[in-house]
Amino acid sequence: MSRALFIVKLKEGLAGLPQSEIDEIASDYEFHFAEAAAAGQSEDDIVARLGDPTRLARELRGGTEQRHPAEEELTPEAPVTISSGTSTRGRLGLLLALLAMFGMGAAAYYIAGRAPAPVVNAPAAPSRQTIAATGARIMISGGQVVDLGTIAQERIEIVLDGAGAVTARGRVKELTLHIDGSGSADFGALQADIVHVDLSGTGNAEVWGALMADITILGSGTVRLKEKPKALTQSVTGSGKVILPN
Amino acid sequence: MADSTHIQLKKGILELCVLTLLAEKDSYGYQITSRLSDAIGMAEGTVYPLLRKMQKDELVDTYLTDSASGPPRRYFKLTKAGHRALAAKRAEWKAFKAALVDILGDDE
Repeated sequence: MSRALFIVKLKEGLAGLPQSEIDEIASDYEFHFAEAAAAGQSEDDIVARLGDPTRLARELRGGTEQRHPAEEELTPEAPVTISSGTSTRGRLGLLLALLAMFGMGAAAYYIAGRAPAPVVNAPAAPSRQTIAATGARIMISGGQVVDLGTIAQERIEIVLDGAGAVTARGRVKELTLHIDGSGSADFGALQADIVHVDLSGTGNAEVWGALMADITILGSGTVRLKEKPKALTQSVTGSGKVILPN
Repeated sequence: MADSTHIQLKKGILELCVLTLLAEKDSYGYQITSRLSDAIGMAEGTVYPLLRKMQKDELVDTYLTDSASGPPRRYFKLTKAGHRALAAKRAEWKAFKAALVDILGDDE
């Protein structure tokens, strides 16, 4: 197949998308052709290594269609049970299937012996969102402000990896919070028995762990505790700090 | 291993690889695709849908340069959010790897 035919087939496969988007995608591949040719590859080789343009177009369409995150990204509770007699091979297969369904985090969860939590990917647009939290692992990226409302459930895990903010009220047994960026989490009104906080960056969090708090800070973040827990484990590397109530 | 699972597995790893390569240095598309397809045997074209998605998510940014010999090149660079995503994904990957070693044993 020639370069020209590759581009034609790619564009055919993208028909229906906005023209500006089709042009941008085609230019990705035009750049590639030019760069690979400059590296000494023949046109045939370049086409062969790129793969089938119709299939690439299908993949690109899948990635550009507007999806409603609350409806489509919220995966239902996974029907996975493992009997003790399952072979290693079978377990590995399931593990890989889990990986495909939920991403690495959930697969690791499964191995740790817990039920895989549904993953909610919060939308990327910086807006105020309310997301139903039902035993979920909630990912918040970018600069969103997310109010999870009033929660009553066993455990909740929240990953905040941008500059966003998240808050919730209510009662959980176990709260796990990862903050990787400059985000801010206000869980001062969410009573938990056990709280795990893992903060790497400049973010800050307020949490309420009545029985146990397990806090790791790497960087300049601050974790404020609403109540002094019965057991407190803390590890601080950097200028960050854990602030106890007076 | 089912074929589709295999592909999904590679895709998850692909994003981590792209983030890692771009954290090392800004690169143009062909540099990334040729390095990755040699290493993990994927069609080179599949890297571009991923780069596009990463651009939308503001994990990568692009800029154009003129090269002395040859065509202008479009470089991809990691944004701050991209660096953070890399840190988060590396942590996930480590946990996943440890869990796998738990089941499969360590061959080292």
